[in-house]
Amino acid sequence: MLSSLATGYTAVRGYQQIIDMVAHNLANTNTIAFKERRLSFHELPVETLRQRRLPHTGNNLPEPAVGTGAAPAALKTFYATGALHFSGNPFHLAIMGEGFFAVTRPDGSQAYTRAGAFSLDAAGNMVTPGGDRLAGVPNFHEEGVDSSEGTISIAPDGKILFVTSTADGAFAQETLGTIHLYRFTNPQQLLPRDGSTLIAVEGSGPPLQGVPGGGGFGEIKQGYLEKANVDLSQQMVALVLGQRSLQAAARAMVVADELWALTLNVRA
Amino acid sequence: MRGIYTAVGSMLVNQVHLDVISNNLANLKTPGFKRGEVVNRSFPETLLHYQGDRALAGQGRLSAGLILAPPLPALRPIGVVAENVAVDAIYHMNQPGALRQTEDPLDFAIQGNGYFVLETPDGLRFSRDGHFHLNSEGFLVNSQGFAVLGERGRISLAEQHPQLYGDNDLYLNGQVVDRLRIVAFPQEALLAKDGFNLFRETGNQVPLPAERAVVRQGYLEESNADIVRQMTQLVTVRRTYEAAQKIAQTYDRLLGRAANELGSLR
Repeated sequence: MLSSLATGYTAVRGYQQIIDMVAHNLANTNTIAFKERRLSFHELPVETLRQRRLPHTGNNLPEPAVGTGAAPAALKTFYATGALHFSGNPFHLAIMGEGFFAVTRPDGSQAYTRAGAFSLDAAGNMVTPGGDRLAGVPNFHEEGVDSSEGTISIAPDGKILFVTSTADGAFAQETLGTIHLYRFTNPQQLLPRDGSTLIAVEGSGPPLQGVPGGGGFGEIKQGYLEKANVDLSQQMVALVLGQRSLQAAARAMVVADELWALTLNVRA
Repeated sequence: MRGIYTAVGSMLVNQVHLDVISNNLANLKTPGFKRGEVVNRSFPETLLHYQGDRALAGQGRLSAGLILAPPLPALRPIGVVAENVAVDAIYHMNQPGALRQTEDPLDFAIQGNGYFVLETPDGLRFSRDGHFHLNSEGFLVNSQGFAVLGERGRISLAEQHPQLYGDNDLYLNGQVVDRLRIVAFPQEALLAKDGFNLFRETGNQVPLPAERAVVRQGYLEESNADIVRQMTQLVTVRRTYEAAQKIAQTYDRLLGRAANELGSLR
């Protein structure tokens, strides 16, 4: 009965984590470029009846063995691109396909994000809401760019252009820089930091740089934001399954407790 | 009085049933999980005979010396008993689980018989759990980090979006990289669970290529344990255990009366 209680405990803990994960996904359905988290389980190692000293005939191979529960095996991030929605803000960027923007954190270190809700700060830098600078974009004040005189245009291939109209009615454009995209061999290992940014670690492999729209990288869409890729109805199904499975496992623990009580009552 | 051992044996066997049910219920969300099922076996049955008269008759002959004893009465059979019960085997049921679409390009599910082959430090292991990812060197690995084997060995994929076409061939940018190795065994009962959704071969069988296995990309095979079946078995175990406990309790009372009331001078 003790082992059944221990098995039940692993089950309840696992299903609890499914419910936590669903809550996290649901809480982020409106987070820009949020990626759904998925939890997968594996069965824990088996113990043979011989090890547990329980009666068995020994007639059959392989030896009869009992599993000892389940444990979370992998927390995977589902990297499919979310729906793009139009915001009209020239500093809002979305990646249509694979890749991450590189941003420079205030301490000078590099981080990666797909959340393209950038804005122009007082110093003239293109920054995330957390204050991280988008790499590849120059300081607009140093370049002498005044957004009241023209428009900043970011092409699908990442080129940043400053378009002004000249006195004779024609357009003049000046290239200010290029936004590159990055990808990783194992993006599952990227370490989440605050404000939707991720940090490259040894397990993720080094960042591979590329031009947007080529070599498997997505195109950049200016004036759009990427929505979370969470499917609400799928999360509701996962919630119901997690909750009911938890109840069933808890029920088995109650029965283990009842059997224990019966055993203690043999000597009435 | 031997029935007390049978009652206790039944309680222990039902404990194994409960352990297996608990494990099945813990793995309702484990991809590629195969539910366990316990098979009991009673000890060999023996035929009991009534021999009370025989014993008395024998004594009569001894005490009477040379006087001829009356003929021995024939043995009277009472019935068959089995001395105890034990677990004969715990099978994992191989029925395929339902396929669930995940849309993840690195999730795979096998339709039909067969197993993925994984390379572990302890040798080859087999699994129906196709929840894979790429490690930092670009090899296709399972959740434990063990390499998934193709026909040419480890599968090296430089990027996250391979395509699966034809006979389980993995393509990358239109080029064949490798073919997923799917194997089957003539006697699947000889595969033993090794933990972490892996199976180990215990009968020196050579894994054969699974001819009819079709791999689906973007799907996972769900656990084949279902709540309804397990909850029903839970009720059965609960009541069987209670019945066995009642028998043990009755023996306790009988022994108590035999010890305290037989031959008491009251």
